[in-house]
Amino acid sequence: MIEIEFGAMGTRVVAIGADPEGVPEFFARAERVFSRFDRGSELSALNHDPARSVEVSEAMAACLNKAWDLRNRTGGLIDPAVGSAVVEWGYDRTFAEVEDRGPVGDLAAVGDWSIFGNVVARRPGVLLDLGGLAKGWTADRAVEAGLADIVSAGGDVRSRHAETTVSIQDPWGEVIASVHLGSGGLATSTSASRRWKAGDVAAHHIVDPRNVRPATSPIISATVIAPTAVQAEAGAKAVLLQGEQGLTWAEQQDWIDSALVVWHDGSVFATTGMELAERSAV
Amino acid sequence: MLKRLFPSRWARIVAWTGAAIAWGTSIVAVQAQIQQPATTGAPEALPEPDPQVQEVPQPLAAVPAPPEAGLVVIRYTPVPPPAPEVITRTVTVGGGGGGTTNSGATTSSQASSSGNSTGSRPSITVTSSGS
Repeated sequence: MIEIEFGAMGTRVVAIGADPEGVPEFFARAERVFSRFDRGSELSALNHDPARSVEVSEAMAACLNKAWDLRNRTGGLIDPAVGSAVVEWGYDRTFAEVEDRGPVGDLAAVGDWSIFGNVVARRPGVLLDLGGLAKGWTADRAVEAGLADIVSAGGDVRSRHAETTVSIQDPWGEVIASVHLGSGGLATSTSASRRWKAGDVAAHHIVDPRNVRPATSPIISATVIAPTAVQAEAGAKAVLLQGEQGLTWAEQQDWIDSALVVWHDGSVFATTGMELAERSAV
Repeated sequence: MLKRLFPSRWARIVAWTGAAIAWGTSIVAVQAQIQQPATTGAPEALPEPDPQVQEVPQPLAAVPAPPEAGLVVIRYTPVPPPAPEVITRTVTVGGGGGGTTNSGATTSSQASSSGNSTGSRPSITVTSSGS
């Protein structure tokens, strides 16, 4: 097995397999489609297209169809159309360039959008942000294409290796549990990173579509295991956004295998489905 | 004296009735004035804000709502929440695929693997800490 690590999509990507050399180029191609910071990307072109209906590439259509499915599964908690609000809060450039900014006024509600086949319909001005979904989707596609056995894109893991174990870290960097993943997807979403100030508000990258504000939740980090990385990514964010009810909700979803959360006081809780290989002392 | 002013019996009755009505009316008017709020001076007090729409920080729950199948407590040693951290790092996208193992990439310090692709499948551990 060969392991490589590289930077893409604003995060670190690890690929493990017999011959994972094609993974960096695969991610580079995906970034040229999904990046909202690259003015030449397909997503940037879509976001600035004045037409109401736009035909998109096969990759974009596949990812947006998956996003549409996950939007419905999470009751709108995961919605790429939150992009406009993310920009208003100040995350309008690569995170390394994001700076503290002044207070944010009243923002418009998340705009409507839809996709039929490979045609995206939305009101011009609605900005789509595929962010974490694109990372998970790309990790899934890289593994499904046979480029690697395991791909981890900033914590969004997809594996087809039966013996894969994932160490889950809390926001302090401590390993809180090791879970047996095997073949499947796992993702961790946290509000403790990618933070900045917007006036008096401690802003971060997880914007709640319900009030278009950075999420306020007793959960500071959520991990979900699901069949694919993109599902796990959406599930983790939805669990975090639902706070106290997050684990109860996760247990009720037939597309989520299990979930684990780091509470605001550092405590760690999980659903009974979490297959722990080992864990830290209680 | 009243008889001198109102020699007729009916005139006295009318006079008494009129006086009684005037007295009663004045009392009602005074009471109404007392009950009316002042229309000048201090501004009218604002209604109390509805506590449901008031934006106040909600106390954070001590534990999550337990799922039906139960809640697994992995760690219950509350520690202070982490300080907001701004991550600034340079991101380099790896170059084209062919060539050496690490073309445009660096060897991972977080993930690890052992063994090779032949024989029994080794256990592989990767890390997920969120982004």
